[in-house]
Amino acid sequence: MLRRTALAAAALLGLGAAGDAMAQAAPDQLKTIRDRGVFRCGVYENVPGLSALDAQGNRVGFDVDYCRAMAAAVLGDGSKVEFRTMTLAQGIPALKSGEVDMIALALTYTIQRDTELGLDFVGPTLYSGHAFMVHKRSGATKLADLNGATICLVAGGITDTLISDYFRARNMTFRPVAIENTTQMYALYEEGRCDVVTSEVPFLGMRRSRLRNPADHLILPEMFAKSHMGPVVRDDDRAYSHVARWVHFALVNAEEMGITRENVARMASESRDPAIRRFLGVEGEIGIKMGLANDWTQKVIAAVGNYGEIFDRHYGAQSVIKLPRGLNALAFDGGLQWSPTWR
Amino acid sequence: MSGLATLWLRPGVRAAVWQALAAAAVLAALLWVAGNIAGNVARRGLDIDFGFLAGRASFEFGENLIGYRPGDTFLTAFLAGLANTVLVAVLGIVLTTMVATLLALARLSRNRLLSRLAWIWIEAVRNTPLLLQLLFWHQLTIRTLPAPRQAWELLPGTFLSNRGLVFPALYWQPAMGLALAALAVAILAAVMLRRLALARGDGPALRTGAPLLLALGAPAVLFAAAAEPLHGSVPALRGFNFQGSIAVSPEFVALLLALVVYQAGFMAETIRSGILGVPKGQVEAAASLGLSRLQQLRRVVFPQALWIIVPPVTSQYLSLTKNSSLAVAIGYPDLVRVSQVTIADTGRAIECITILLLVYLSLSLFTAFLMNLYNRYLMRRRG
Amino acid sequence: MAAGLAAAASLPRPPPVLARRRFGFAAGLFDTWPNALVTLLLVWLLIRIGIAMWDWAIVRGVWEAETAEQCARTGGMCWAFLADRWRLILFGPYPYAQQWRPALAMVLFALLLGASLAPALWAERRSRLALGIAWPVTIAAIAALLWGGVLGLPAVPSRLWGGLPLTMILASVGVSGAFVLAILLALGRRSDMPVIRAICTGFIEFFRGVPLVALLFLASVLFPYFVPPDWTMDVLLRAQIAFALFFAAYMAEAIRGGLQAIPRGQYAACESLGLTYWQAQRRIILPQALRTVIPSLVNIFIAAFKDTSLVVIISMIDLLGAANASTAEAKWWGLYIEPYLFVALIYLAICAVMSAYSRGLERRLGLGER
Repeated sequence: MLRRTALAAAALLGLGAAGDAMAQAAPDQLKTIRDRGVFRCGVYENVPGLSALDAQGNRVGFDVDYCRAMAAAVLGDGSKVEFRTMTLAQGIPALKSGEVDMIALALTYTIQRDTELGLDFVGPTLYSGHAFMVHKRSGATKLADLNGATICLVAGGITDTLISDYFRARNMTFRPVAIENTTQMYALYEEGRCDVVTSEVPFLGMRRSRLRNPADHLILPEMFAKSHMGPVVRDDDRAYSHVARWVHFALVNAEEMGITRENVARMASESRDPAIRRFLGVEGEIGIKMGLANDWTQKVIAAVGNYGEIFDRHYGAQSVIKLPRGLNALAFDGGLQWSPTWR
Repeated sequence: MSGLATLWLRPGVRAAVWQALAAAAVLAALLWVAGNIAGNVARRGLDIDFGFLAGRASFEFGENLIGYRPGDTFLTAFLAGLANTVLVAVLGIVLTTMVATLLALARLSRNRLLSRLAWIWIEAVRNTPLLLQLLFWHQLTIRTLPAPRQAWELLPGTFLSNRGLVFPALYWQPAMGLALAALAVAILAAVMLRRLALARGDGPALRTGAPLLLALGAPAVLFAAAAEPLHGSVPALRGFNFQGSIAVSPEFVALLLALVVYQAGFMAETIRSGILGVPKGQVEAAASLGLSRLQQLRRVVFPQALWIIVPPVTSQYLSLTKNSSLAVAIGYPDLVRVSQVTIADTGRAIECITILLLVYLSLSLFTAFLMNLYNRYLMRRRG
Repeated sequence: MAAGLAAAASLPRPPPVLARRRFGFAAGLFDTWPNALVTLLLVWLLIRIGIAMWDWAIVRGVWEAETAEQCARTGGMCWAFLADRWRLILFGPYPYAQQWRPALAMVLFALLLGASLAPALWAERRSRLALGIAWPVTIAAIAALLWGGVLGLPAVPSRLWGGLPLTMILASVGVSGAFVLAILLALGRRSDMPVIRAICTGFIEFFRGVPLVALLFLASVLFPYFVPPDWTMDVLLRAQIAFALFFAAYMAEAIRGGLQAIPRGQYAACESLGLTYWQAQRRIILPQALRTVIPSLVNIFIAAFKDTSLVVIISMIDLLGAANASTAEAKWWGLYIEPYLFVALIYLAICAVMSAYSRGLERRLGLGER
C-alpha cells in the first residue's frame, strides 16, 4: 500500500518535472491561438471610447477594434475574440501569465516595460501625453499652480510615478487619490474630491464633454509627460510579435492606400495596382511566410476598417468627442502614423 | 488468511495507512503545483525573486503612519500599506463592537418603534453587498462635506471638508515624550488603584474618580512643568488645500464607516442572541437584588453573554480585517494598493500576491490567537 | 464580505418568544420620559427622510430624457435612464433578442428553489421523489436555455452571460460544490486521525484567512502558472472553483457546529449497532447534524450571493458589473446613483426573502427550544 502511494507520489512529481522539461520548448503563440479557435484579449470593462458595452451588450471601442483586428489576422474572423475585461493593474500580470494573448489597455510605451518586463508594444496606436484637468473655479491655469493639489488618477499604471517624479523635481507636493474604475474617478473629480484629474489628453477631452458643465473645467495646455500608447503582447515569440505589430501597420497602410472596410473586397478583386494587390495578399506570399493566411489584411480591414476609420468611429468625427487627428494623422499629412513599405 | 489481511483489520494500522495516503496526496498536489509554477516561470523567462523589495519605489502614497516618502524602498511602502490596513482593522474592530452593542440593545428595547427600526436597519445592511455600501458611503462623505474653501471650522485650527479632517500638527518636543511615558505609568497606576478601591469596596469617587484624575492629571502636570510653550503648525488654506497639518482622508472615513456599519449589522445579531441566551432566572435574580437595568446588563447579563458571543465574534473580527482589502475600490492606500502599484512598476505579480496572502493570513491567525486567549480566560473565570 | 459567512458559520440562536408580545404595538413607546423622547426623535427622523426621498424620487424625478444632461437638470432620480437600461443591468451582455431565455431560466430556478425549500415537502416520500426528479430536469432545462444550441435556440457562450442570472449561477453552483467539500472537511476536522485533522484544519484556516479578492485575482490572472502550459479552463468555472473552496471553509465550520451538537450517546449507539464509520455518518449522524444547520447554510448562501459581486474584478459582468457597464454609453455618462441604487434594491429584495425564509425555518425546526 505504502509503496503504491510512494509510486503515485513519484508519478505526480514526475509531472512536475515534465513542467520543467516543457520550459525549454519555444512557445508557438499562433498555433496555440489557432488550436484554441479564439483570440483572448484583455480590455477595460468600461472606458468609453476604448472599450465599453453598447445598449445591445456588444463590446465597442478603439482598443476593442485592435483585438478584433488581431483575431481577423490570426483566425480569419474578427468576431472570434474572447474579451477579458480587466483593470490596468491586472493587465500586465494577466498577459505575462499567459491568461490573455494581448492586452489593449492603452498602455504607455516605456523602456522598462519593453526591456525589463518582457513586453512588446504594438504601434504606438495613439500618440498623446498626460495632462491635467482642473475645476475652473480653482483659478489654476498652468502646471506650476498645482502645488499641494489633490489629484485623482487611475490606479495601477505609471501615472503615479510620473506625477511623483514631476512634482518632486520641482519641489511641489500633491496627494493622490488612486481609483481603479475610471467612471468612478471622474465622478469623484466632479464631486470635488480632487482638484485635478489626470489622464491622456484624448480621454480627458472625452470625459470633459460629458461632465455636467464642461465649460467649468479646464484642461491645462501643458502636458507633464508624454504618453504614446498601444496594445501589448509578450516578447517570447518573435513570429507572434511580428504579427501583432504588422496588424497595426496594415491598418495604417490601408488608410494610406485608401482601402476601406467598404471597398476592400472590390479593391482585392479589381485593383490592378501591384502594391495594393501585394498588400491584400492577391499577389505574393507575404502572409503565408508570416504564418498567416495570405489574405489576412483583407480580413482585418473587412472586420474593422482602416486606421482612419477606427479613429473616426471612436475618437473622431463620428464620435461624441470629435477629437482632431493631430499627432495621429498619417505621416503624409504631417502626423506620426506611418507604415513601413509593404514588400 | 494472510498476515497482511489481518494487519489491515487492525484499526490502528488502517488509520495509519489512510493518513499516510492523505498526506502523500496533499504533498503530491502541492509539489505538482510548485513544479508547474517553476516550469512556467522558467518557460516565460521569469524568475521569482523578492530582491525587488530593496528597490526604490517612486510613487506618492497619500496618508501613511510611518512617514513613507517617494524614493524609499518598496519594503517601506509595503510596511506603510500594512500600517494603514492594521489601523483600519483595529479601529474598525473597536467601533464595530460598540455600534453592534448599541444596535443589539436597540433591537431588544421595549420601545417597539426603536426595535423595529433597528431591525430594518440591520436587515438592510446585511442584505446588500459590502462593495456597494462602500461606494455609497464614499459618495455620501464626499457629497455632504463642503469644498476646502468653505470648510467647516470645528475647533480653532481644525477643519472639516471633502479633503478630510485636518487638525494642527504639533512639533515634537522632549516634554511630549516625557508626558507620554508619564501617561503610560499613570494608567498602570490608575488600574491598580481601581482594583484596590474595588477590593476595599470604596464609593464611586475613589473607585472611578481618583484613578481617572491620576491617569489624566499626572501627565498634564508634568507636561505643563517641563514644556516650553506649545508650538505647532496650524492648518492654513494655501493654494488648493490645507497645508502643514495632519489629515484624515474621506476615503479612510468612508472605509471605516462601511466596514463598521456592515459588520455591526451581523455582530448586533450575534450579541443579541448572546444576551437572549442568558438564562432568564439570572436577570430576575439581578432585578430582585435591586440592581438598575443598566447595572443588570453590565454586571450580570454581559459577562455571561460573552461566553456565547466570543467565538462567533472572533470570526466576524477576521472578516472585518479581510474585508478591509476592498479599500482599493475607493482608493484608500492599504496593502492591496501598494501591491498593485508595485506590480505595475516591477511586474512582480507572483511575489506581491504571495506577500499579500501571507500578510492577511498572519493577521487572521494573530487575531484568532488573541481571541482564543481571551476565550480561554473567560472559560477559566467561568470555572 | 465574509461577515455574512462568519455570522452564518456560527449557529445563530433564535430568540425565545418574548413576553412583551401581548402588549400592542404602542406599548413601550411613551411609558417613560426617555422613551417618549426617543420615539419623538425617531418619528421626526422618519418624516424628514420620507419627505426627502419623495422629493428626490417623485417630485424632482425625471421620466422623459434622452441623455444624462437632460436628467441632471432637476437633480432628481433619473427614471428615464432605468427605463432605457434596465435590461442591460439585469442581463448584461447576453444577446438582446435572446434575453427571454435567462429570464425564463431564472423563473424556473426560483420556482424550483421555492418548492424545494418548503419543509412540508421533505416529510413525504412521494414529494421527495418528485423533487428528486424535478431538480435534474429543471437544471437541464436551465442549462439548455442559457447555452442554447438545442431545439433551435442559438448558442450563447458562457462569456456572454451576465447580470442577475450570472450572479445566481455563481452563488448556487458555488455553494452546491462547496457543500460536498464542506461535509468532508467538517468530518475530517473532527476525525481521530491527526494527519487528516491537520490537513482539514489547515485548509479551513487558510481559506478563512485570505481575502476573497486575492483568491479571485489568483484564479483569474495567475491561474496559468499553476497548471501545465496550454491547460485552459473556462473563467466561469475557475471562479466557481474559487468560490466553492472559499465557501466550503465557512460551511465546514457551520456543519462542524451541527456535528458537535449531536449527543455522544448517538455515536455510542451506532458503534454498538456495529455500523461502520461511513454508515454511521450517512444514516445517523449527518442527517441530524445537517437538519440543525440548514438555517446557517441558507445564511451562507445569502452571503455567497452578495459576495459574488467581487467577480467584477475578474472579467465577469454580474449584477454589479452590469450596473457599472450601464453608464458606459456616452449619453448616460455621469450617472452614478441610479444604477447602484437599482441593483442594491435587487440584492436587498432577494436576500431579504431568503433570510426571512431562514428565520422561519429556524422557528419551524424548533432549534430555539433545544
